[in-house]
Amino acid sequence: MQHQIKTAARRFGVTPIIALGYGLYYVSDTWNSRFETQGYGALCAAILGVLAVFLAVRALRQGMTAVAIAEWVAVRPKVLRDHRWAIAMTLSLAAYVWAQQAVGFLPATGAMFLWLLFFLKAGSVPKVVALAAMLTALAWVILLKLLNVPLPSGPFGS
Amino acid sequence: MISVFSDVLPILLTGLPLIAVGVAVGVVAGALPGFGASNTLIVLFPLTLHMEVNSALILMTALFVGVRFGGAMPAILINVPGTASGAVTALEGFPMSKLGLAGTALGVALIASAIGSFASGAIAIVAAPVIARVALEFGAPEIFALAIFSIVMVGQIAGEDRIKGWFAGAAGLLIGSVGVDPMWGTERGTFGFIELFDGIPVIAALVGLFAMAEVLEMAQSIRAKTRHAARVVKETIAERARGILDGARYGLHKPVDLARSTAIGSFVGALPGAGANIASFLSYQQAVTFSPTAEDQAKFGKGNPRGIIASESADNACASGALVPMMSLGIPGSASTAVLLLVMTAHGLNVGPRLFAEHTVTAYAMLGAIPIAAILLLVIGFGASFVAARLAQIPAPIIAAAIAVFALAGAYAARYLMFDVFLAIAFGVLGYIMRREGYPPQAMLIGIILAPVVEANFFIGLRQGFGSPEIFVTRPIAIGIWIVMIASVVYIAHKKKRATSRRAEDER
Repeated sequence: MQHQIKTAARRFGVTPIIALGYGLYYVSDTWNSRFETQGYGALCAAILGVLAVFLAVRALRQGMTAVAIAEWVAVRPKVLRDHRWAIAMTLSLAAYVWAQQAVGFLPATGAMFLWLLFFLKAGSVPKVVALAAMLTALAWVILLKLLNVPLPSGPFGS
Repeated sequence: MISVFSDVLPILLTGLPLIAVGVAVGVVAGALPGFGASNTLIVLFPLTLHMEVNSALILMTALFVGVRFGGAMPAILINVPGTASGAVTALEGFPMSKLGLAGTALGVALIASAIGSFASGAIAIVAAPVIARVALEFGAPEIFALAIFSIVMVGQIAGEDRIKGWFAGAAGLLIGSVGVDPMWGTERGTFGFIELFDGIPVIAALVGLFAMAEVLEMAQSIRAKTRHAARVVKETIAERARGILDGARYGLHKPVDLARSTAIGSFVGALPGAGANIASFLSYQQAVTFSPTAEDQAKFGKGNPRGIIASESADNACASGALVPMMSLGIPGSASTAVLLLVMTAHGLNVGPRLFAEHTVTAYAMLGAIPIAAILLLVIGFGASFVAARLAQIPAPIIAAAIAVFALAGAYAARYLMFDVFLAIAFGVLGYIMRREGYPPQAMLIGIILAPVVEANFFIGLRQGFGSPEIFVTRPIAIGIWIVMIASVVYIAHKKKRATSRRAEDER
């Protein structure tokens, strides 16, 4: 059964669910509008639907029975746990972007480098601090001084 | 033509330092495992936004050339390919290193890369304007067919499963049409975000699907401890220098191998979807087949420098070959050429058949930078060969942290909107999931980039046909494109099936 679940997951996956969900939203959003507004999106969504049916039929042939689908859904929390480091990274990135708006680019970037290097186990504390300082200085030189990108300045003015 | 040459030459001469910087940065970035050609271009994208158009394009083109050789160095020295096509180089390069011939292998790779880039750059200079002139005759149905052809081919080749590839491409076509429709200006699929009314910011999608997804992948593998330390083969500086020169001499004495691999690379590069790894594998297979003696053939896999010539010259030629359809038709066949296309459009260039007519000097300056970059690669690559092993051993956490911050800054720099940065992270999550499930993000990216072209030409074609879709399948050139597309799909599927059954037989 475990093999069946793995096969089903590999054969279909979460990607088509996300894409089809968005396709449905897109089509419903443009429903009843002019052909030039909705026609193209509806065509793409229809192609996505047909390809998803292909994928689903193939998965069914590979043994994706109703029980296997239920088990596949049931193991999602475990899968989330298995990918916890990627999830933590995503949350760190989102927090970094938010922090930039709150405290400015440079302090947020310094803190981000420090956190990432700790999180990714780049070495001892002094090494991590030195590396973070070096990378922050590099970001400051390239993005703020050389390129003059108007990144958020925040209350600390950088 | 002479007046164009006299306009382009000063641009290239004044741009020499930029070309050198581009090659050097490309070589270094290519040597970093996990960085890859497209990630390098993405991270450096914001650099070009503030530059003058010619400077930006020759810098990016030089980078495009340098990164190919950069990927070969860690493949040869520590068996860790910096790029996908470097895996083929590793098949022969690393055994040579173990035999104490690392310098020779690097020399062979260097000369093959430089000659491959130089020759295919020259081919591109001749071929791209000719194709563009032919493409000027194309109408909406032909352009529509070409764009679909490109997405179908990328979908078919980019991943292991063609249905998933096509699914990713179709999803890209849908996502790429978000925003106001081109005919009536009604907004679609934006979730009400005003920032999406102008369409999906392609830079954010690109940064997310590639750079952010790579960062998430790195975080997962570093913390889950699935990365392994590489073993380094040591050589003194004098031995390395002697070896590189010997290798370069060896490469120069194999003109037939160089010509064959360059031709294969240039041809494969011009095909949408068929990236450098396919060119390298195909060229390597041909090198084995055309091996002059049984003895020489038996050496493949154990350190045959002919294998490195085949892989490296095809890899570099493929990169320049891929510029031909991108510049002449406006259709990128890979993630790296997609980034170059975005750099060009960010500078207001109309990429496609009219490029050579409207921006003649800029287009030729960009292509002219390739042979110059190839010559500079000989010098810069020679120097980089001495520090390559150290570059390849820069710890993954530092690379991941640097990509994260610089790539996100790139997403911001395109429109100066924090919204784009959050969008890049969302695309990163999507890219991470897609990679894990075997849906190729390249296909989605090409779909997103080509969606406006597909949609506009779809409706223009329908109007030309007075509402009937027949026009898409009745004009001779369009019919030709559809036939080539179907034939390619069937041929590739047949080849894949044969390879799978042969593998199954071997296993039995």
